[in-house]
Amino acid sequence: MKQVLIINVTRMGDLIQTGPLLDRLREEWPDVAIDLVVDRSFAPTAALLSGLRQVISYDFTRLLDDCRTQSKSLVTLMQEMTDWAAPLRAAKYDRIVNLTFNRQTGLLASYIGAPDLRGIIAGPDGGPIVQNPWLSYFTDLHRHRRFNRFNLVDLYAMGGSGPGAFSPLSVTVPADSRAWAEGFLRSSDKTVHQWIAIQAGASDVMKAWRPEYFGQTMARQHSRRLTVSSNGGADHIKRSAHRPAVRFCHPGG
Amino acid sequence: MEIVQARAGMPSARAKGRWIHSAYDPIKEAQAWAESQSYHEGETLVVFGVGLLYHVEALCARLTRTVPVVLVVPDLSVLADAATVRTWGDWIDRVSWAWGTTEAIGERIAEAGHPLRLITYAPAAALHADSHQAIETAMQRRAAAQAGGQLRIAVVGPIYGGSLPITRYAISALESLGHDVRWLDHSVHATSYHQLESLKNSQHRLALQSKYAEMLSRVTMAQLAEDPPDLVLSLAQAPLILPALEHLRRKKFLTAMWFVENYRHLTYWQQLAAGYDFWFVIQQEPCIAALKQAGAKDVRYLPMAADPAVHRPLELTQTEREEYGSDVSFVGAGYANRREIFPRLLCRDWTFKLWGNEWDGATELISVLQRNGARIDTDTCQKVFNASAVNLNLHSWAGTGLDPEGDFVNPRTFELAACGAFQLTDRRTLMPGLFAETEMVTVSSPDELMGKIARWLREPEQRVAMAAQARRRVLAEHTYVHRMRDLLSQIGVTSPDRIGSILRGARQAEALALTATDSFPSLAATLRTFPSTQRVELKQLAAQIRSRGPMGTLSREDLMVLMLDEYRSETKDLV
Repeated sequence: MKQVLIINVTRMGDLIQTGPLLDRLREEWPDVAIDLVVDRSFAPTAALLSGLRQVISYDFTRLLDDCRTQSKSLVTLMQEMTDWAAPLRAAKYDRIVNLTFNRQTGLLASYIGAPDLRGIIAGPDGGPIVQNPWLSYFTDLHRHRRFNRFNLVDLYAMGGSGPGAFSPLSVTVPADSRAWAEGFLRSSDKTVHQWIAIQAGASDVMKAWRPEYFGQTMARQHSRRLTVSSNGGADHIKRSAHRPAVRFCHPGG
Repeated sequence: MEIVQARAGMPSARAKGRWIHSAYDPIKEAQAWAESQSYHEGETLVVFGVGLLYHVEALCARLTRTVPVVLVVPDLSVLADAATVRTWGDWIDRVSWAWGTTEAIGERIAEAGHPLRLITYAPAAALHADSHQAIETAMQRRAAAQAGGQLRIAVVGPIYGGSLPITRYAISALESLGHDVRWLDHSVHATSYHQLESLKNSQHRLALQSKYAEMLSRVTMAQLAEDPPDLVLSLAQAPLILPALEHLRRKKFLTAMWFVENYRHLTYWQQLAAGYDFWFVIQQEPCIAALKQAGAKDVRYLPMAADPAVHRPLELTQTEREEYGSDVSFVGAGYANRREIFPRLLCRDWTFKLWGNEWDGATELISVLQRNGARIDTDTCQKVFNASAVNLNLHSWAGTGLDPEGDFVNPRTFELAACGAFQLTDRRTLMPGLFAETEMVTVSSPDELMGKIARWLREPEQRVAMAAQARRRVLAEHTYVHRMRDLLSQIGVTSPDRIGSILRGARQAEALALTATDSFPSLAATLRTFPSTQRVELKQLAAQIRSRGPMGTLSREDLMVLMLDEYRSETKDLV
């Protein structure tokens, strides 16, 4: 049995777009076992993906805060992180696909180790290098975005596996979340004609929806009811939003 | 204590009309209390508050048997009450008892092992608040004496004002204690800030000053993000607004404020109380209670002080003596009470010189006002202190006469004493805890002032002796070094796993290497390449690894260190 670890820590949208890669890997190795590393805040979203052996979450935000403020000694930090990563190392993955394009996860991928490492990994001096041409292409996408012909979904699937059958984006909504959503829509005001769901958060604060623009949008949608699907990045908007017409719901209810 | 049966059937207790344990279910209440206490492996728990020991039993039940628990017993009779009405279980064998004098209790606690985490069962501890305070102080002193580790401290100063020189003194003291201090100096923005004061429209002026302070708060955040410290220490008037402080707390920064202001006059603390992790104030009750009421979690008394490098005896030339000297002098701003009292000092048998600014309109005092009421710099101030026979030190007040609520002791008191200058000051309720009557002369009313000036002018030798005694007291107990040591040891005792561990030297290369030897042998070897007492964090260790260059080989441990260091250097979520 082949084992693959996918590292996709920082972005909720990218996580959903990992679905076709999972299908492609199963096409490549029908008995493959796929594990996924995500930030703890994205674990509920990761649970919507089909065909994973396990979702391994970690509170990377807390880790960042602990490292930055030196609230723990480096030996304590090493011990905690090593303990967490020990099962990943012990699994002896055949392939690690790092879809998080930062230095930290590159070093994590190299630390866990596998014969086939893809995406950002650590070079001989610890600096980042990118393995796999499709993922290299993706790394530089911001430079040639206007010429780009590929969708993120395809880049992930090609980079993490290879060519294969078309596979649409899909998630599996758990029964309790489905029941919650149906109940929510049924119990709401009958005068509502149209619902708009918005993901207000972003992985990077500079890309996040500014509260003032959010407020302007709400003002324009004043006659409608909005339901806002948010991740942790939308806290600033929650604090500034007081309109009763807006409801904040986390993914999966 | 009065023993009363709780609704659930077991004994509970009351004292002075207050319940020590729940009137309904003391066991359940104690369990909830025990659950709320934090503990880190390797620490010794020191419990304040005896009562009927339900909370100690619950604590023992929550923790593994190896965790040392020391119960402070300031009064054995309380323990007798508990022994009479309760039956002990096995847990009692796990508890070490510390009783006797403050020193004996301190010794017993010290024997139990370090690091110490103090926890307080407040309803019972309140019965012996003074004893507990004395024991805690003794423990802090002990911790301070053992401190050898270097902290990285960012000091956030004001844009301008009286707390600006105090910021400098605090920084100098922290540096002399061996800490790595970075001054986030906002005094460089003073000119721009004062420029806004020229706006005639008060609405515009206030709005823009507020925006300016908010901008400086963001500047502070950006500076902190570039080099996160172990502790952010603000002095009064530091431009850090509540949302910034809340953000810092979310990001795990530790913050402290030394509020060197009269809390009755400047009330902006009400908006900031909940923002800082630690407050240090120059007043005691009701100031401390008011801050806690406003949301401050940890408030402690930390009086003003002097810096002996600045405030010191000077050898003055004859010319300087003539320029700065007089029989009686005062240096300070023209507050209402001083404007009312000082005219009485005119036309007497002594010479009187008045130094300082904000005396506009005090026409009666023009004949004694020096330099046309210009602001007096620190050097000049020291010369006046040294050259005057009797230095008046009347604390500011907006009313007439002396401040009837006068409690805190101002910086001038300590500075005059450090100069070895004789002073005559108004009576303050907190003065007896800082200076003895043999060290300075106090007056209780303006009427006493004339007689005491006349008397002490006649006794130059006694003046010199008294001033020398006051100086010795300052050097022994009241310098900024003493204050900063107290401040850090108090924070260290409250956070033994963080500031406390750094102060104890647990982050130094040799100490880290010892803890890493078993689990991370190659890391321990790298740590041993540093000087043994050098503090080593991810930054230093990662730099050491990177210095091997591209030809070096990275072990898995190296990769982990570099990964953690990459997280350490992340800043974009901070500002």
